[in-house]
Amino acid sequence: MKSIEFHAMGSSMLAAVDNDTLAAAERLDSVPRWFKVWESRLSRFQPDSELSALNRASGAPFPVSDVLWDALQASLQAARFSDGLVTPTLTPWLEAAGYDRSFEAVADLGESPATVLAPPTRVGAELRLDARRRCVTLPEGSRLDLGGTAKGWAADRAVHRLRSLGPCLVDAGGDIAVHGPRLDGSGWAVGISDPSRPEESLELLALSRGAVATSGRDYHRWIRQGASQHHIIDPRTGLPASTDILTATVVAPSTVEAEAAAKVALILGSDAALAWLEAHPSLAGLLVLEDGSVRRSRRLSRYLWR
Amino acid sequence: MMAKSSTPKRPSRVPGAKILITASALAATLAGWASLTWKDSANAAGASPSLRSAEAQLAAAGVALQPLPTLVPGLTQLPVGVSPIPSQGGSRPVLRSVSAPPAPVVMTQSSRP
Repeated sequence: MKSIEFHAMGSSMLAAVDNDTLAAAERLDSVPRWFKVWESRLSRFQPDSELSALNRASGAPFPVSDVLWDALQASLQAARFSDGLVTPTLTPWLEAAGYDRSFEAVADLGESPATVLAPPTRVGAELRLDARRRCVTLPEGSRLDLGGTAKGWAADRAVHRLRSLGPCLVDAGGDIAVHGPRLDGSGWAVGISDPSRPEESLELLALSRGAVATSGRDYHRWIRQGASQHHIIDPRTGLPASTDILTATVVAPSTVEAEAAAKVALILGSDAALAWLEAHPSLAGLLVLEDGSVRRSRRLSRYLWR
Repeated sequence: MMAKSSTPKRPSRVPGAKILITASALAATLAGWASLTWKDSANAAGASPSLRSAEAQLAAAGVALQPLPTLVPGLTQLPVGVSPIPSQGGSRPVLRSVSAPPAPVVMTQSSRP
């Protein structure tokens, strides 16, 4: 197996192929460049990114690249899949919670004044997309954040580019896409990190296809005016989700779906999240609650290492 | 002139007698076997009507006669692969080949730098 590790999109990345040829090594060497290009298109935090340009052009049609168009489509797919609980149009509410800079720069905001915004009223319904001309029109003053969906989309896209080499895996900061069982017939061993001891696994998965992603408020949280804040916004309130779940991990057919489903679970809270997961046959999940207890959906056993 | 001493020749009747004796013995043996066989079949057919009647009545009543005690133990139905030899004290460890789970290639966790 050959692999490469690098840093992109504010997270640690890893790409691996079960192939020891020179061609595999050369293809792997190009993966960081792919992510650099995608980040330059999709980052909300880079002023010269294409997404930042689109946000500045709100109110007017803006022609976008294939990369931004595809990632935006994936984000809207996640919005539909999640019944609007995961949407790219929550940037003002993210910033109001204090997430107005990259994760590396988010610190204890102390007594800085909090901004209170009314909840969003028409989540995701404001975008106008012209498929023929590849133009996007944002409502005046609206800004997009593709967030975790962009990382999931990038993991799916990278695996798609690597799969001609054989079995492969891409880990985009914990959002993991897999193609094919390994050459020895086994699945890819993926641990579900214990939020209280991140180096240890709560469960070991054997994935032969599809994806797994984790969303959580265990790491990216900050204090603002004495209140704990995090980056998972509940669009029904416009505030960081009030939930008993600390981290949610979901196995799904694609990384975009896994990432969106993990966010949905976290926003819903454990009881509703388990019911929602059971109602979707393509999903399986593990929830770590604030009190340290762990809850699993029934289908998770299909993916456990035996 | 010398007189010839002559011994009267015995007629050669010995082989004939042997054949006769053998044939008679064979015939007697076969006749005895035939007689015994005929008697057995006659007994089987008619000598135990009461026993067969009792068995039929028991079967009709749903009573099954237990086999007679014997010094030869009967066959025990064992699952395939199970040793018929009892383990010593019932606590003999069973050895199985179990491979340890591998170290994870990656870990899924919430986003972090």
